[in-house]
Amino acid sequence: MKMRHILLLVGLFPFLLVSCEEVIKDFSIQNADPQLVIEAQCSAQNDSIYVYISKTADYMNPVEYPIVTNAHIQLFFADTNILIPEIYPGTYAAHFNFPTNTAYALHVNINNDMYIAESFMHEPVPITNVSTSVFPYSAYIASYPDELFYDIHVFFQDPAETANFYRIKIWKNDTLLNNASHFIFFNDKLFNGKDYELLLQAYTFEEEDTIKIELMSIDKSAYEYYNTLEEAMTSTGNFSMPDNPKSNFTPSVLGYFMTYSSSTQTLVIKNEESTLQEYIP
Amino acid sequence: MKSVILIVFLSFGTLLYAQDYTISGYIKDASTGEELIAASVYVPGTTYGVITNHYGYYSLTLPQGSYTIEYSYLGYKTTSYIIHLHENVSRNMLLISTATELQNVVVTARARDQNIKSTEMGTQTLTMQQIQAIPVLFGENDVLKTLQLMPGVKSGGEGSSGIYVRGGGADQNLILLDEAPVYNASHMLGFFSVFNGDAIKDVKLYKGSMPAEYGGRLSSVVDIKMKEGNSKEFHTTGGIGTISSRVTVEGPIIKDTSSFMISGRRTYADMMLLFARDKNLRKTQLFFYDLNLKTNYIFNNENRLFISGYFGRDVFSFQDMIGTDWGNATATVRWIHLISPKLFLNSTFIFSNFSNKISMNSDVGDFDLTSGITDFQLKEDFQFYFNTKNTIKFGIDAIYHTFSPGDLKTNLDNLSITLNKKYAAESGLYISNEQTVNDYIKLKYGLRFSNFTVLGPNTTYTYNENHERIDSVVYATKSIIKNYPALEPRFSATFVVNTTSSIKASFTKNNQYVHLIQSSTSSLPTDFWIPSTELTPPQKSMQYSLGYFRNFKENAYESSVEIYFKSLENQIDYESGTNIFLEPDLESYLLFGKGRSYGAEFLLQKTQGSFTGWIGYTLARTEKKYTELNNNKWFPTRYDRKHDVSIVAMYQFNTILQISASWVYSTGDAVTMPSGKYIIDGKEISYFTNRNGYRMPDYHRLDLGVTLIGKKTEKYESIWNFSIYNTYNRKNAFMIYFESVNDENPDVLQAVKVTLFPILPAVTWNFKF
Repeated sequence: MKMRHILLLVGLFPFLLVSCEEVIKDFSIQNADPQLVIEAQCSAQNDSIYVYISKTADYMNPVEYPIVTNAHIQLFFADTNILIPEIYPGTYAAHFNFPTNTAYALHVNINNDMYIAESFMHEPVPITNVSTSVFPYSAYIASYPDELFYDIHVFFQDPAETANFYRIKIWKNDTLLNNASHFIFFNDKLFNGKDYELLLQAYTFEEEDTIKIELMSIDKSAYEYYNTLEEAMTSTGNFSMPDNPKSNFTPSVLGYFMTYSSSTQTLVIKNEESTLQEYIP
Repeated sequence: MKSVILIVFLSFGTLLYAQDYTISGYIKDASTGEELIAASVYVPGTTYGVITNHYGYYSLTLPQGSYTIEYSYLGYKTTSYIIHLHENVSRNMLLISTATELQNVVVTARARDQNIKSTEMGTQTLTMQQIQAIPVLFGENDVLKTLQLMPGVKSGGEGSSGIYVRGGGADQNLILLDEAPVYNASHMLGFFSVFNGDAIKDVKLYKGSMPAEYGGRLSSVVDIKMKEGNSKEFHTTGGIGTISSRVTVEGPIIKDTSSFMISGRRTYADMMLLFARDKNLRKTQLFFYDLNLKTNYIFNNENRLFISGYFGRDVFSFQDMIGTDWGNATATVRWIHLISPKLFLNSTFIFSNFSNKISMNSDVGDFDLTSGITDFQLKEDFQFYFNTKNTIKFGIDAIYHTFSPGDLKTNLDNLSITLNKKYAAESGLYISNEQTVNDYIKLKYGLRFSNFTVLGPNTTYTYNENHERIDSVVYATKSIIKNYPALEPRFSATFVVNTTSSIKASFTKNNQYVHLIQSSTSSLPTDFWIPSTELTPPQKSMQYSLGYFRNFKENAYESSVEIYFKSLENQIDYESGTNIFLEPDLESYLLFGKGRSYGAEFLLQKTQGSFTGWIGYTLARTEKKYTELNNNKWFPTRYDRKHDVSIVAMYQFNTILQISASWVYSTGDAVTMPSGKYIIDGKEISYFTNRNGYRMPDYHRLDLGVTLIGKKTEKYESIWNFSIYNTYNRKNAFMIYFESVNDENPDVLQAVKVTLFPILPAVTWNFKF
């Protein structure tokens, strides 16, 4: 919950009645030289690792994001190391039965410059139950008088002995909900070791929609990356001083390397009373 | 440091004993009985002279002999009389306002050439007449917004009442209302200040050389005094404005002995919502109110008691879903005692509280988030009119702070969070002397010893790089966790070149022990105060300034140029991505950096005649530097505006009509905008380079005002005030965002500016009976 956004909106409310907007000419963006971006995700769920290497593009008109080819990438874990080949220009991937509870190190060599990042793959945390209910304030959201809004309840048992970091992904009929407002990650600081019910509010679903929930166990560096990424994603720069997210690569680049394990559950929306579907691994 | 003390003693030692007598008393407005602050008492043709202190008291010591003594205050008839001084004399003086016919619109200021002769520099005084005459947003007179029109004082952006003095932060102003600190001086996210003009008598701003009696903030002191209340007859004044209404009642309880003043203001922006079509909107509450109270009792010439208080709240609620309630409460009990005609003692007890509550109700549970700060303070201030050449001030004060950084209460058992309250004692001990060395040199030197004691009960932690607690110490109630003692020298000198010009210099050192943690660059009620602790060192500043003051045409025009350099230490920021709310380990995320601010301030002012006003220009730069931010490079602060111009003009046509205008221009704010973008996780992410590396477009605006006396009799007065904000409808950018040019090419962006206030007329009707 971004309290400050709510308050800002609330406070400006009477003034927004008189405010106006127009395209501005005397303000321009100075584009920086293209910067290296490495995004690497290794999943125990999908037994895969994907690495995307690209560069930053023009902010106002990103005709294309330059891709970086011919990188030499190696993944080290346990006593093993595997090469990750380039499957499309700028996309590198490999499949393996990746072990959980294991430390991983990624070495990316681009034109003899080496970028190294480490990540720890935690055990998955099973979702014990998922249900939905109708968001009780649907009626008051005057702009959408005919829509029903749903809450999703995700239940899981947080492991007590470790600090846990999570991300949740939601699919609606096999489409990942992936805009900024669906970017959900959290830690167990407030509920360590508890049987926890996570509430996700105000989703627009329709009857017979199939909803899939993925609970990802991520590590601390990924959580910190997301935490700082969110600011870069949502801040307009008008009322705060956003910074680039905190990468776990050395030397630092844009992007991050993350390993994760996950558990999933699906359900089908049935009228206002949604019911739990069978656990599908 | 030692040399300063040495000077103090040397100057006492070298004073020759002479048969001197003292004339002392209060100077008051003849019609209302209000004490006049900074009125002048002097002997024409000599250098003997003094001005009244904050309570209207003066004490002038002269060698035995005959003198003509002149009492003057701008806007009042100068009164003089001849006295043969051969014993101590107590003389209270009533001055008659020359503006009785037009009390609300005549601009008065301080005594004639005081700006040349006094040791004060970097100060601004405003009278309520000035504040009332200058046009403002929605016609809502505002003390702080008027101060923004002075050089060296920057506003917090469009419509904001926030003030940023010589590169200082929002929390670095010591804002005092009848000596009580006001921790959040704004309503409605900063658009209005908490000071209701009807209840205010006098405003003084110290930008640089703060006297030694003030301490605890780095950049400025805004000293606001409430009206005492008319001690002669009952009056009701008030006004009905575009967004608020006000009413003030004042009068004697016992004539010339005791009076009271009670003043209230409430906005009604939400009243418009009553007519909203949507019935849910009609249930929305959005308003603020202020209540000021003051009463005094004069026991005799030596003893008077004042009690004053302020209470203000912002209320917002939307349905039963979210509600907020925040505001300040202050109380001051002051006893003024004249130990002798030369020794003035002011004993004060002060209470101040800022609290903030946000409530939310949802189907998972109800939440109440509260935070705040509470102060209890005791002060003993002595003013010793030692002789004709020296006025010594000394005193002590002690504040007991209670900080409540956050408390989340819910009806769910596993989610309530209470951050430990923190306790601290802040104390000060000071002495200063204002010395007239000869006809040309005047000095003011002082030393303030401040001490901040972090007190138990509390549990303190040490942290590793990952913000994990590695050690803890438990402290019992009233045990001392940490002491921060500091010496703060204050020095200023005036060299009077001739009767119309002078050169002044000053040096000031300051420490600040309480810090505001803000979640964004705008003022939000969720901002909260934290104390210095063993992990959070005090903020420190040093300021040097030099000025040239020159008056023209028999003091009708005043001009000044001041340059300053200020260095800042331990400026607080926090790491990117830190969630500052309810973070028990917040201190491990704080960053401490350096700051520097320098600039030149030009002011040309006309204070007399039917045409008055001023032109102010500031050329300035403010930067900060943190090891952890912006690659350890200096970056400009948000309100680093290179050029800042304000022109204010008021013209009195006749006894019923006055017009006023103000024009402001400033360099755009420094903001952080992207310099590229990339894809992560299937989303477009902005790439940032330099912190605050972009500039908003330049800001300028013209406001006009007309004051018209509708009806005026002995008993009743009706005044209309019309104003136009942003007269030529300049579309100043409040914020800039980027959107797709069209749907076919969603990736091609254009910049769009949001303008908050177009041309906005307002009307206020004021009455008095």
